[in-house]
Amino acid sequence: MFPVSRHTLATLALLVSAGVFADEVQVIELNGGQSNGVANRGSVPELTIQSASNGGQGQAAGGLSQSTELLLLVQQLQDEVRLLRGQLEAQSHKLKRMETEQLDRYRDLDRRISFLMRSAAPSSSVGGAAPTVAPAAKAPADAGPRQPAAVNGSVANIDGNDLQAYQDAFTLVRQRAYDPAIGAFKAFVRNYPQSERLANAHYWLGEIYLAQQKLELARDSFSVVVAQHADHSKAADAAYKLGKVYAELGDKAKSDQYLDLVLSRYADSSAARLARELKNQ
Amino acid sequence: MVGKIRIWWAVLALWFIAAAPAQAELTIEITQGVDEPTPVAVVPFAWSGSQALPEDVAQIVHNDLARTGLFKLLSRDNMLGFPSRADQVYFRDWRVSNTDFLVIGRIAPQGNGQLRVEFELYDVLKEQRLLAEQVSAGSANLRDIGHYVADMIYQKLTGLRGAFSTRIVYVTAEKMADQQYRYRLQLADSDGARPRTILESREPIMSPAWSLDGKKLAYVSFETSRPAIYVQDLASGKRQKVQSFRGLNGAPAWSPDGQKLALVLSKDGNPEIYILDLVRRQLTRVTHHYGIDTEPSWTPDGQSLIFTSDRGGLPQIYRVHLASREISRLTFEGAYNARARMTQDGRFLAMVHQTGGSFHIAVQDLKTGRLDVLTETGLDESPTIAPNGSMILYATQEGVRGLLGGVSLDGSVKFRLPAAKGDVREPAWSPYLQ
Amino acid sequence: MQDVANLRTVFYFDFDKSVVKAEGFADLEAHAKYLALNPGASIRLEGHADERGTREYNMALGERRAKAISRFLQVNNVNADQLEVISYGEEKPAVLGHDRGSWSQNRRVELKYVSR
Repeated sequence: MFPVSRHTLATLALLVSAGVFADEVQVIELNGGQSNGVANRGSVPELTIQSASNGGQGQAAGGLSQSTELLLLVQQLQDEVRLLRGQLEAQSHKLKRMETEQLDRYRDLDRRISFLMRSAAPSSSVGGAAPTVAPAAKAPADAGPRQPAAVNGSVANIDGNDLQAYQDAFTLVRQRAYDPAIGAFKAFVRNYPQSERLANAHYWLGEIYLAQQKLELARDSFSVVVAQHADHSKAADAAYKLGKVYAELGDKAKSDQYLDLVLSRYADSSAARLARELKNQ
Repeated sequence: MVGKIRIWWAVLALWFIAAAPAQAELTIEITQGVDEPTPVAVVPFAWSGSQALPEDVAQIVHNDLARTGLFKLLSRDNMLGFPSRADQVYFRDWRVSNTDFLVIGRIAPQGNGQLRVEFELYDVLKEQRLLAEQVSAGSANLRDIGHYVADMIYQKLTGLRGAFSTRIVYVTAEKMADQQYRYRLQLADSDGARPRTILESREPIMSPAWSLDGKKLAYVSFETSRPAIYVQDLASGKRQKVQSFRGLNGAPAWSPDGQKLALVLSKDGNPEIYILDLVRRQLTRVTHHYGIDTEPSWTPDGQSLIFTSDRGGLPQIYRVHLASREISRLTFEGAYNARARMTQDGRFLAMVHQTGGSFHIAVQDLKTGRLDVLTETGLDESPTIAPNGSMILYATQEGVRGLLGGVSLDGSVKFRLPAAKGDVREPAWSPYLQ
Repeated sequence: MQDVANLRTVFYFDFDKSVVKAEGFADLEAHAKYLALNPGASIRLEGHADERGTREYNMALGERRAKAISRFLQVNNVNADQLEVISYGEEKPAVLGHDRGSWSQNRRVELKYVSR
């Protein structure tokens, strides 16, 4: 005789979507513990064995042999222990990181305070009534932790060379932190008008705007490269991008004009190949 | 002094296509470049013999340098002349074509079938010779000479040792007319040229690994219908079955001293990591956990193994210190990190990392903990690092085909090595050879 | 004696999981019954994974799946000598294709009778 009853071991997934099993279900709750999901990925499955009997067969429910049930239980336990272990590992790692960060923060604060105290001391000893406000207000700006100049864009690191500022801005592009990157490149353009990387900065502003679909702004940035830095290595790419931007703006004539420019003036550039492809579309 | 190349962090923007070397089965397409590559011109080398040479040495140098993405190579059509000796070099011409560095060379027959190759590297702006060297070789070894020249120039310009003279191995799977698969273990130059088959089988071949002297390969073959680990000597072709227990026999990895293999066996019930001492024929079990422990690789100091384990519910990278057997988890970002390889300086881990349902190559800085995802394609695996730490080669999918991709450790430079036929997988980059 | 030829011989799994699904229990019990009654019969359990993730990890995963089936049979009175477990990882997909549908068919254990 062929056994018709189907038996079910249900993990959390099946518990949640209990609707899958339309038949009445016998549940052996071995641990009713509400594992509250610990907001982490891979939440722990509930340790539950369900036996479902199928197809209206009035047969004794839960026909699984005892040893089968034990086997399934052990497997579930193992899975759960692994998940718990994983969560423990992740949490102790987080804890360790927070401890170091706290220590860093403390040290930074300590540095700032001692700086304040040092800068306050001479003024009071010499002038007696010297204004303590001025150095105090000035101090944090100097003594603050060395943020990369680019982070908030407006505070550029004028002391560092333009290479560092450029790379900081670029790092933001790599991290796809577009708005901070825009701030950083704008600051770069402002602070290093003589830099040989000026064209690169304008070019990347254009790229970011294009990525953000701010087409007019992208157009303006690329135009600066083409108009003011025609001999720069980025000019060919900028001209190609202008062709692209105008195409997206719906101005086919202008688009072709720039693509033709790429093909004539920068015929050997890799942009020329792309321009040809775009034109042929 | 010598201008170190300014390496720019760059995102994609430029799409170069390098000309495919005619004889190569794998051809290289550079799909991305750095922001401001250094302009270099490699002039065709003069040849004073009578019969045509089998290889264009200057073209090999040109392609090697182009593939790094750090250089912008001047095409021959735009060269105002083809100087081959110092007195033929007019720096003004090269400044006009915006070339910063110039490579010239000449090849002459030396008798008894040998060729003498001389090459020179110039700094155009300073009008200075930076390098002049001569080497001799048989005409069959001209590709080696090309890679050697590229190595020397790369080192002079970047300060890093070049890795063009290295080799790669990889596995291909090809569906034959009889609907059966043919698996091949292939050995090729670092640019994919001169591929040759080391092993062919109707059953899967997996996990090729180089010994650190570059003379032997370990791999897994199912040729007996069950997995077994083999070690093959490359020069003689001789091979030896080193491990075939019941169950899994997989993921061999050579110790830095070449005496031991770390491997995975499931003979004791589930996948565990063992160390096989090849000299004393002794097997030591390293891990003890009912979860999956696999994909071991050695840290460069030989003191620890890094491996993949799902003892925490999800596959992550762990390190086990061999003397103390202390285990620590290294990766915490994401739900799937596997098959890690460490750079020679011990600073970075390259691995397979899952984000949003797809699998990418990622690099984790072990000092800062920062993880960077380097690739955008969806099924990337098997990262292998060039011995100079500059590039990672990996397996990826394009359409229905498996092929090899390359990416620099900072993600700025990418290239692909599409194969002419079959599915390409599991690359392994050799150490420095000789 | 029922005919094992009518029983299900392929058992499917979820991604990165090796829990035997309830839908396979009845057929596995029937296989177990047959094997227990016929000690001369033997089977080979071939574990597989889909192409996602790394090859060696998938090799281990395929084995864990095959072992899960093997244990199920053993607690149902099948002798260990009648069972052989082998994993092919992601090397031998049942379906070629890089989509959800193909993947779900490739995460499987195939039960094959070596002798009956």
